[in-house]
Amino acid sequence: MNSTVNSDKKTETSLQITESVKEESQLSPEIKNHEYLYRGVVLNNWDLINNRISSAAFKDTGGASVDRDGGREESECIKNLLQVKDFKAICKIKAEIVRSYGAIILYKPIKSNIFHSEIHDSTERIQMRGSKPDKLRRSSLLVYINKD
Amino acid sequence: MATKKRYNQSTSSTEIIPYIIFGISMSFGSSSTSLPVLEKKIYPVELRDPKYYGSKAGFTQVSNQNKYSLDRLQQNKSIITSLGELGNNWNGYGGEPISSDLIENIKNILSEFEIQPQIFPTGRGSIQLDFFKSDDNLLEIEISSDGVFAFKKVGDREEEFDLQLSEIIPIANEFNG
Repeated sequence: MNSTVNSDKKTETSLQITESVKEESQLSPEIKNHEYLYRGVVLNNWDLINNRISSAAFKDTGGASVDRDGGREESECIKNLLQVKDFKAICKIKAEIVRSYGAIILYKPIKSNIFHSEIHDSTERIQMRGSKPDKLRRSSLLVYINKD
Repeated sequence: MATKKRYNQSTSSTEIIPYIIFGISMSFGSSSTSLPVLEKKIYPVELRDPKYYGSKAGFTQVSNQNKYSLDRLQQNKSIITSLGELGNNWNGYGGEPISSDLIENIKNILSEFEIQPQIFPTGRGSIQLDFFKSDDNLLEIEISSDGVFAFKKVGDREEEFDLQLSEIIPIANEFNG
């Protein structure tokens, strides 16, 4: 019971943070169809045999976390992601394509990243599975790969 | 009179070599286009860690040679054991660690696959087994503590279904058969 209450409080707090960061970010709360969404991919999710991303890369607990471009140059989007982690690869996908698969995109800025967004399976379900992660994988464009 | 070159017993090895090289380069070409248009230069990725990726042949390419390969089984056992070392936020997006029970469950069935899968962790603490022949011919099986879920694509036909742990082997072997 207590853990439920704590969990609710935590959710409430994180929602308040999201809303306040949204206001500070001055980015449009709506992600336009022409915006690109960037995702870093670690070596564990990179298929070394076929030189491709595994769809496993798009299976997070809270949907798939991505960074919206928010009007930035691509080089800046890549640079920001590489500051977070030494990714094996970085890919991007257009918001319009994600929506065409029936997935939804939510702008969820956090204090450390005002571009943070999430791709959810649908309005009813957060986590993606089945064909959607595979479609995202095959529609993604590689914009960076670490050859080391 | 023009003569058509054909492979036969009298064809020398030096005549065949250029065709082999051409075939190999075509093969690499097709594998590197499995993702759509690449907007920046993509460097060929080499199989870097011989401990895990000792063979240059694909894990999931279907050929009799790859059936019940002991080398690939051992490589996969090493890979799946290494997943136990993933800590919190291993993927930079809050990735969850993989439970030791899940790792043991999969390790126990690995030897029953005719063709060894490629093994990937997911950010939600599950493990995905990929049997990838091409973008239009693949089987993905995601195993978590909540259950097992599969996605299969063969040509234009897509299937998604829940299954039991005991059904993984027959479904995978049928796909690769």
